[in-house]
Amino acid sequence: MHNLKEWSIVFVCVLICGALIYSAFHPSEPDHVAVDHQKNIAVLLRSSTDDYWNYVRKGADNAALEYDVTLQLHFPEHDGDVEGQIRIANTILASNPDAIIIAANSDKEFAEVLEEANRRRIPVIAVDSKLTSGVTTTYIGSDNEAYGQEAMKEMAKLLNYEGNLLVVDYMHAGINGEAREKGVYEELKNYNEIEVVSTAVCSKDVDECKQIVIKNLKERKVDGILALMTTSSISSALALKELNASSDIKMVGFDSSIQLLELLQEGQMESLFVQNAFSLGYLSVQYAVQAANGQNISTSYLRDMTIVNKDNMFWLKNQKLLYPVVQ
Amino acid sequence: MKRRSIQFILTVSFSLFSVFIITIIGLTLYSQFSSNTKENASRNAQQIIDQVSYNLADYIKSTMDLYHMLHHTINSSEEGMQSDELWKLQSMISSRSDVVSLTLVDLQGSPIALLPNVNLKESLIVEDETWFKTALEKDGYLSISVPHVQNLYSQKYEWVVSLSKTITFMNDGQLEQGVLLLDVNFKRIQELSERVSLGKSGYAYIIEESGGNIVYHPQIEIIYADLKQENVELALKQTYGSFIDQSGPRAKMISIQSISNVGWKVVGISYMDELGLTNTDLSIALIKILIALAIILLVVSNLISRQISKPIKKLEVTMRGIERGEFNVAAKSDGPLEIKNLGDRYNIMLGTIRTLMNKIVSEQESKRKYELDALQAQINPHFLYNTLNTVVRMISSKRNDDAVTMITALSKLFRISLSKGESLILISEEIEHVRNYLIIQQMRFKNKFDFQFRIDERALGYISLKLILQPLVENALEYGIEPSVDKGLIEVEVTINEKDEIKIIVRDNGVGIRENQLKAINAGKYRSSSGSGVGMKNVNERIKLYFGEQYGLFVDSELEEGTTIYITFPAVIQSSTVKEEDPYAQS
Repeated sequence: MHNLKEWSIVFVCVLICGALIYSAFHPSEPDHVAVDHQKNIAVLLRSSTDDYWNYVRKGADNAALEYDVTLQLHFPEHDGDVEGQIRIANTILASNPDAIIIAANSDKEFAEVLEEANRRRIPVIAVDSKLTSGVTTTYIGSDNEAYGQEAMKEMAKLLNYEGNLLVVDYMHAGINGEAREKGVYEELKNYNEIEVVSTAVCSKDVDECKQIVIKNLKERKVDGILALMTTSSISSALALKELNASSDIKMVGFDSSIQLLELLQEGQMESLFVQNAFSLGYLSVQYAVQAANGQNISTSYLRDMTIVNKDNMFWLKNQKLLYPVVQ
Repeated sequence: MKRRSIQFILTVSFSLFSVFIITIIGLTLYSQFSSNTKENASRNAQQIIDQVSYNLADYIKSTMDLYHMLHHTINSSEEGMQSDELWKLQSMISSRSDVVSLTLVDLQGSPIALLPNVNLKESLIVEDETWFKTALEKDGYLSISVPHVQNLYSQKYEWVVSLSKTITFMNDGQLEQGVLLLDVNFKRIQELSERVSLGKSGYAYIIEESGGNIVYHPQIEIIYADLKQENVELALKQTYGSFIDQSGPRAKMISIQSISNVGWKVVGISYMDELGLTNTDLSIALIKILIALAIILLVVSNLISRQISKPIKKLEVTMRGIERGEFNVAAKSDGPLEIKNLGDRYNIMLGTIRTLMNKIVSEQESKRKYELDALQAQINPHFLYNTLNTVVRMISSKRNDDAVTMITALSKLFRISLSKGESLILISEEIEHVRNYLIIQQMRFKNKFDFQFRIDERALGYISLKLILQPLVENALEYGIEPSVDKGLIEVEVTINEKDEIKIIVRDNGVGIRENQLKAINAGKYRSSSGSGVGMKNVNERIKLYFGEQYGLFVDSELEEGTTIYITFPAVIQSSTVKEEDPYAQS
C-alpha cells in the first residue's frame, strides 16, 4: 500500500515533468484563426460599376485580407435600386453574418432591415450613406450636409457672391444627395445675391443628363453650376465643354473619376469635392470586424472630403487620393 | 527544536542547492541564448534586406543602362527621329515589361518622339512637369523621381518612376537639346521587394531618402489612404543596420540598407514575436524546464537520501527487537559501506552478548547441580550411621547372617551410589540400588513392610538418573509406612510405553498426603522443615534439567490409602554425547 502510493507519486511527477518538458520544446503557437473562426462579413454596396464603388470594394478587400475575414459582396443591378437592395439585405440577414456593411440607396425603406438586424444582434455598419431609420452600430462617411454647405461656400467664392446658380442633382441621389442639397440650400440663405434659377435632375445616362444641362444653360443665364453627384458632375462638365462655356460658367462638383479628373485638368470645372473611397471600404470592414468581436466602437466616424482643383490635383498628397495605385 | 530526519535534511538541502545552481545556469543560458538569437535574427534580417537592396540596385542600374543605351541610340542617329530610329528604340524598350513609356521633348516642351505612340493630354504643359524641371536643373545628370502619377497621356494615369536627363539629338539635320524621359512602373520593384521572408508576416518597403516618401510598400494603398503609418523617421535617421522599434503594439525589428545609386532605402520589418524573440515564450519554456528539473531533483534526492536513511531505519528496527528480547535477529548487512559496517559491528556485539548470556545460564545450571549433588551427598551419613548401628546390634545379638546380608546390601548400595562418579546409570542398576536400600531398611524396621518389583525387562537397558528412586522410597517409608500401624507394602513398577517413555511408579499403602500438601508438592512449591517434600522436589528438578520440562514427577495420594508417585522420562540409551554434556564429568 505504502509502496504503491509512493510509486504513484513518482509516476505523477514523471508525467508532470514529461508534460512540462514537452510543452517547453513545443510552444503552442497562439493560432488566431483557430481560436476565433473567420468572421463572415456581408457587404451591400450601391453599385458595382462605378469607379467610386470599385475603390470602396478595393478598400474592403484590403481590410479583409488584413483582418483575415471573409467578405460576401452584394450589390443591386443598378445604382438607386432600392427594392433590389432591400431584397438582397433580407437574404443577407437570413444567412446570419457576423456583421453587415450597408451603403444604402434609401433611408426610410431600410427601417425593417435594420430592425431585423437588431433583433438578430447583427452589427450594422452604414458606409457612405447615413441611415437614420433604425439602429446602426456606426456610420462611416462624410457629413454630407456640411459638405453641401462647403460646396455652396466654394461656389459663392467663385461667383464673387453674386449670380445665377444651376443645381444639377441626380435622380437616384439617395441619402447623400438629399443631405448635400439640404446643406446647399441652408448655406444659400447667407448669400442674398445668389439665386438658384433652375434645378436639373439627371438619370444615370450621362448623355441625356448633358442635354438637360445644355437645355437649361441655353434657356437662362447661368453663372455657376453646382453638381451634387458623380453623374451630374460629369454631365455638367461635358455640357460646359460642349458649349465651350467653362470660362464663363463656374462649376463645383462632387466625387472623382478618371473622366472627371481629366475634365478638371482641362479646366471645365473649378473644384471637386472628393472623399477617399478606398478608406471608406477599408474602415467599414475594420469596424465591422471590431463590432463583430464585440468591441465598443464609436457611433460615427466622419471622413473628410478634400477640395481638389486644377492647381493642387497633382500634389503628391492628392495624387495618392485621386489615383489609386494599381498593383 | 524539532529534530529533522537525515532524509529530510538531505532532500531539502540537495534540492535547494541544485535548484540554485540550475537557476544560475538557466539565467546565464537564457541571457546568452536570447542575445544570440537576437543577433542571429538581426543578422538574418539584415542579410535579406541587403540582398533585396542589391537586387534593387542591380535593377536600377540595368534601367539606367537601358536609359543610357536609349540615349546613345538617339545621340548616334544622324537623320533625327525617323521611323526606323523609333522602331529601334521601340524594340529596345519592348524587351522590358516594366517600361511604361519613352518620351523625347525639346526644351520648349514639344514632343519629338513618343513611345508607345499615344495622344498627349490636351491640357498638358510640359514645362510645368517635375521631371522636365529637374532634368533642366541637373543639366547632364540623370535624375530619378519619386513615384508619381504620370500626367502625360490622356485617359491614362499610371504610377511610375521617371528617369529624365537633358540630351542632345539631331532634328531635321540640326543638333538640338531636349529632355529624354523614361517611365518605369513598379512591377519589378514589387517583385524584388516581395521576395523577402521576414518571419510570417514581415515585409520590406522602400523609402526615398531626401523626403521620406514611401516609394514602395506591399500595402501601398493603405499607406496612401493614411490608414496605416510606418515609422519612417527611424528609418531615415539610420543609414544601415538593425534596430528595434517598440513604439507600435507589436515590437518590430527594423533592418535598413541603402540603395546607393538612387538614394532609396530598403526597410525590412520583422515582428519580434515571430522571430521567437519575445522573451515571454523563451522564459516560459525555460521556467517549465526549471520546474521539471526541480521536480526530478526532488524525487531523485528523495530516493538517494532514502537509500542512505533506509538501512539506518532498518537497523533501528532490528535494535528495537533486542529491546523486546529477540536476541537471535541479526542485522542485515546491506546499504552503504558505513551502514554495513555498523550493522556488522552490531551483529558482533550481539554475538558477544549472546555468548555471555549463555555462559551465565550454564553457570547457573551448574551451580544448581552442585547444590543438588551436595544434597544428595547429605543423605548418606545419616543413613550410614543408622545402618551401621543396626549391623552392630545384629552382631552383638549374634545374628551374624543378618549382619552379613545387611553389610552386603550396604556395600552394593554404595558401589552403585558411587558408580565412578557418574550421574547417569542404567535402570537396572538403579533398581538394584533401590532394592539393596529396601533390603537394608526392611531389616532395620524388622519387617514392618514388604516390597515388590514389577519390572518390564525391556526398560532395563535404558539409562536413568542416579539415585532418583531411593529418595522416593525413603520418603514413602518415613512418611507413609512408619506412621502407619498396618504392615506396609512398597511397590516399584517400571514400564516402557509406546512413546518410548520410561514410566516408573513408586506406590506405598501408607498414610497418604493431605490434599493441600499434595497440591503444593505437585506445583513444586512444597518445602517443609523436615524435608519430606525436598527429596521429591530434587528428583523432579533433576529429571527436568536433564530431560526437559515436559518430563518429571507426579504425585497422587489418598489419606489412609497410600501414595503413588509417577516418574516419566524418555527412553535414552547411554551415549558418549550425553556423557560429554554432563557437567559432573567435566568437574
